[in-house]
Amino acid sequence: MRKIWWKFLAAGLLLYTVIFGLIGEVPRQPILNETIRNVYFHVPMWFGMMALMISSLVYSIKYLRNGQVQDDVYAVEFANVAIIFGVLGFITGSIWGNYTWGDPLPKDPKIIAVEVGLLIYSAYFVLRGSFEDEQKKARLSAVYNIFAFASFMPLVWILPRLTDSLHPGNGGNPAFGKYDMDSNMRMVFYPAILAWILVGVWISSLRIRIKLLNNHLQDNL
Amino acid sequence: MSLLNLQDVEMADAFRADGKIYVVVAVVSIVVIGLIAYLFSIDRKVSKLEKEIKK
Repeated sequence: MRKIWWKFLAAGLLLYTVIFGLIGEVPRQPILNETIRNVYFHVPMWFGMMALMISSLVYSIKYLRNGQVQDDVYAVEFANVAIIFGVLGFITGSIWGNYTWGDPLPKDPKIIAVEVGLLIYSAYFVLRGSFEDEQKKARLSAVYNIFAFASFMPLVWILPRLTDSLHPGNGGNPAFGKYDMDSNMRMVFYPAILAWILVGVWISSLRIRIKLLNNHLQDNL
Repeated sequence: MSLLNLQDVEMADAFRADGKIYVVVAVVSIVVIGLIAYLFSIDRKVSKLEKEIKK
């Protein structure tokens, strides 16, 4: 965490995304019109969430392997920020859907899957809150985190593809990558994903460091 | 869809032609720069605390 260059990279990419996300060329699509630019801001939320969930999973497995309290802190804080990104993705999605699909929350398999998935993840925090014993809390929640991840991924990535979905890339709908997004858009979209993943990791790292400081203080009191 | 039809799709062309879009870009950029600067300052504060605790 002592290295700082990637934070500047995150800042630069984010600024680049915001500027070129607004002034760059986008394909002319009926119904979507200018809202296609939401791809630069709504979709990276989900990518950021996934990246943070994977990090959380890795640290949960690490905790189960060696029982270091530090790894548990990493897992929790990554999951915390992942949920924030998920909620932001959900809200931005419903605003976008309201104007393009005509309904903020249409009965779409991907939306329902994400609702279920986020609920599974919130149970992770409820579970953590219900233990007094720190070790038991860390161990059981690490196991639950693995379960949550293992149920979230198929819910969001596989199930919507088996049926019809409004989301591109699902149920026979072409993905943005194939038809809707041209090379101009990709020049902004990929940096946007990287930028938001880095920002997510950055915020998580701050939370982790504060939590570790807090633990340190409590141990020495 | 033919090219002709695609040109009929309504976009914010006038907004861009006016150059008013840059007003929006300026505002959003300031917001992002401000938030990033804030993140950096929190980062520095945490680093300072870490150093103090290590002593």
